[in-house]
Amino acid sequence: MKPGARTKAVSVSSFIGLSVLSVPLHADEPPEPPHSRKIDSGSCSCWAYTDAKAKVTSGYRAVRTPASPRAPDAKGGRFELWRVPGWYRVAALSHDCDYLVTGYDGANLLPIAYERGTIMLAFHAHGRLVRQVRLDELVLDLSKLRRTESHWEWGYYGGVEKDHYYRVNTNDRGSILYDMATGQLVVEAK
Amino acid sequence: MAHIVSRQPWGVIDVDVARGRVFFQQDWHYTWVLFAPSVHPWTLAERRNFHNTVDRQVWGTWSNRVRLQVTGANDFSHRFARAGVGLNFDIRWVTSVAHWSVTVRKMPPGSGRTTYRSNVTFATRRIELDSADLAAGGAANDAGASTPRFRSPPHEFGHTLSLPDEYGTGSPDLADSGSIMNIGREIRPRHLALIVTELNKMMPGVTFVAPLVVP
Repeated sequence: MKPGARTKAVSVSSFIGLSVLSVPLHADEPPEPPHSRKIDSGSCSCWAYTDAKAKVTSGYRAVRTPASPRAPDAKGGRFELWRVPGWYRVAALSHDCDYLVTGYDGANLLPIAYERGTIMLAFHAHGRLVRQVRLDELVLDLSKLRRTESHWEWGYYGGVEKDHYYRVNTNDRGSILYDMATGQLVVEAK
Repeated sequence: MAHIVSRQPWGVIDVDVARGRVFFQQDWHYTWVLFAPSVHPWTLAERRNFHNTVDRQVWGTWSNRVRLQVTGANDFSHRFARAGVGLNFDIRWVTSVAHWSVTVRKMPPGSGRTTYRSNVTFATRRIELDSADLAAGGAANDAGASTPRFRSPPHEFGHTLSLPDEYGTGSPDLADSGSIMNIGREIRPRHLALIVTELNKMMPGVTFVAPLVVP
């Protein structure tokens, strides 16, 4: 329904709107509940699965030949390539499934009382943790965090590019790329 | 047909005095961006679909859910004392001056509802949404409750009415998981506080009250 002709305009002060500004409010999308899910690699031959109940994340490769050097798991049809403890809301896999990167559970939003040492990125190669990146290593200028009503937004996780690079966009540095194999920064461009 | 209108920084409240209806409208100015370089550019059809879907979801969740009670010694109150006053909501896509600046990220295929968590900043009237918000999905609150069909746009719209989240520890309404500002899909009388307070400034002698129970 659209409003009809407005024959009388009443100007009312914005007292209410202004008065609430000083009150800390929560105003952000609630998180999804933990649920097990497949993590696609972009390849049909391998994938990962993050298990919310068992709290473990595993990489798998589809069975291709009987001569594979790895033993098939109990369900058959796939080999477990590696296993990483934990369930992850934010996780991405390289095209060859050798490398897993996991992110901060709150995604793009940090709590109001965030800690500079919060782990924002964890790089795993063949199931082995190779590097972690703290908040103050990822966002060099923390004054660029953007305050929402109930959180600080630091930027966001962009995803995998060119098979094994991981893109992150931060408020202070713009778009940056990490090598998923080493966890090292490879490209930084504003 | 007389209308009484209040233009606020966060939206316009229009009372149709003859028909006993309240219409609330916000003007949104969109900035359409891509979540990643690999994402195909927005098409006009996608932009239209996004706006229309958000508008429909907000309308479906918020409109005609409550009839405000009116009291007072005046003709308007007498005419609508029994039936109450209906309340409808609308979002208008504008290309110039707007109440809200809305950035919408187009997400790559396979993105979840919270790959990017949408958010609102009331103080600067800024809304951050993404294309994955259109689909319903699971949501969880700090009390351990979860719901399978949560919709983000009507929840974020609630924040444009200066409403706080109710899903976090410390909220007095954490237990009310059915509420749209928690992890549900229903509006509550408390969600209309900003509009009702403003309405009570617009028509001297008329008192608007949100009913205690939403029909």
